[in-house]
Amino acid sequence: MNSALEVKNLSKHYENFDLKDVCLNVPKGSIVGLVGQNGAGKTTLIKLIFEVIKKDSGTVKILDKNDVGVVLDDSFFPEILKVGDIDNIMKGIYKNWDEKLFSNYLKDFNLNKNQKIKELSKGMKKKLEIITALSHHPKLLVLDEPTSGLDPIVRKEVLDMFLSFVEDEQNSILLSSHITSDIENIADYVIFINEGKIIFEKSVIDLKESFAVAKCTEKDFEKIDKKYVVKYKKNKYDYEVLITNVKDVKRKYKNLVIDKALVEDIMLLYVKGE
Amino acid sequence: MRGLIVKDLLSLLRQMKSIIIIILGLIVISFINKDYSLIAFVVPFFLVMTIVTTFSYDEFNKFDSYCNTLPVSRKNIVMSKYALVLIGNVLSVLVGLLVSFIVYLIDPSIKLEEFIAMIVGGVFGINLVISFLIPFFYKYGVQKGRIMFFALIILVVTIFTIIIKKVNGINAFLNNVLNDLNSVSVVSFIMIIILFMLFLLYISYRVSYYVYKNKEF
Repeated sequence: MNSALEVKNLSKHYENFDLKDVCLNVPKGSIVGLVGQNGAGKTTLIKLIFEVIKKDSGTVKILDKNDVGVVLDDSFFPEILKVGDIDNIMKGIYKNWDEKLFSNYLKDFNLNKNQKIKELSKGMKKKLEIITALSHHPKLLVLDEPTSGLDPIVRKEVLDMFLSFVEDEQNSILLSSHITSDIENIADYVIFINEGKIIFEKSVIDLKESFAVAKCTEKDFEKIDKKYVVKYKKNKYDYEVLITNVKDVKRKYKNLVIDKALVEDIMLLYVKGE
Repeated sequence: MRGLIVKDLLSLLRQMKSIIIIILGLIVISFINKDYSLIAFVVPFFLVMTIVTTFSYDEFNKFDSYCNTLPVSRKNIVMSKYALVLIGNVLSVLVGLLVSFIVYLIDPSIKLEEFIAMIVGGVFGINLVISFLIPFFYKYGVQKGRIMFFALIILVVTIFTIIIKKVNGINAFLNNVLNDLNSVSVVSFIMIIILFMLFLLYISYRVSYYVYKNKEF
């Protein structure tokens, strides 16, 4: 298997929400970022992968659970436990739990073994969850909003940790985040999910090359050939246009002001644009 | 599975203080009232607290979602709770014996055998309750499960009272059964109770697993 995780045509029906025919692939050695607004289906997708909720149809191929580390958005050990208790528990759960590694991580991140989980700040708790996911030498990390609640400095630390995790080109990460800049900074591939459907799956390089944002007047907008327009949004004074085939557009419309598209711009225009 | 049992035992240990305070409270009240039957409640209380507490901690911290991402099968997740019940049984019988021995030391006028019989009865009763309670917890969660469970109890008790009132001779029948039980030796009586308890817990486990197998979090 060249992928650490492969999802095909995954579907789940709820009364007021549908996850439909989701396909995704996490190649070994890569970081795949899952972006989308709240309620787009990121958490549902991750829960489906682990059968925390049951799929209606589709297939999920994933490494052995002993080789996977997970951080969920809103679910962890009972908070009455002490930080150090996790070590005793996980010893009896993961085959390759590394006691020493865990306690080194605790030191590195200034976490106190004798503190109760409920006494930790939100950021500290998140750190503990990430450390826990890393301490059995996993080959795949699946992280649901791992950077939410972390201050910029710790966020940087954590992102660097993720980068060094995939350095050996064998380990992989699937992470969801609504902090799109994080994904832009570390991911190799971006998957954009909206209303339960995958809008696109592209490498970050491709994404930057294939999309750009033009800001222009209504008059200029009318001039642009609609085959280049993916989405557009009418603001009070101007138009924001997500364009594709950037090179062609730049050649044809020399007067147009074209900026690089950030993942955030793309997401915004897809969700809010027409 | 071992890790999950450790998790529950550690969560209990972390709040042992309040359990011990309650147990001590019960003992003190018993001595003031000179009525030691209350102490027999220590054991079942201990056991039920154990189970309810671990379920509510799991629920409060949404542990089940996380747990299902770990290399543990759903079968083992359910099994670990029942293992905890068995461990709880052993622990609480030990606590019960210890407490009754202490009571005996302080007040030798009580009958030790009666006391132990009371504890056995208490443990039996509470296992009966737990066997029904756990599947309810799995099905409805701790809060709603508790309410549903009490509703069931009230229903059953009401039906029984009506039956006993309506059907003459049932009292005589029950008396006969109790008399027959009196003629059985204490040891075999306890053996029968233990086997019956294990059987109940096994059925309860099958029901819980059936419920949990397809549950979504």
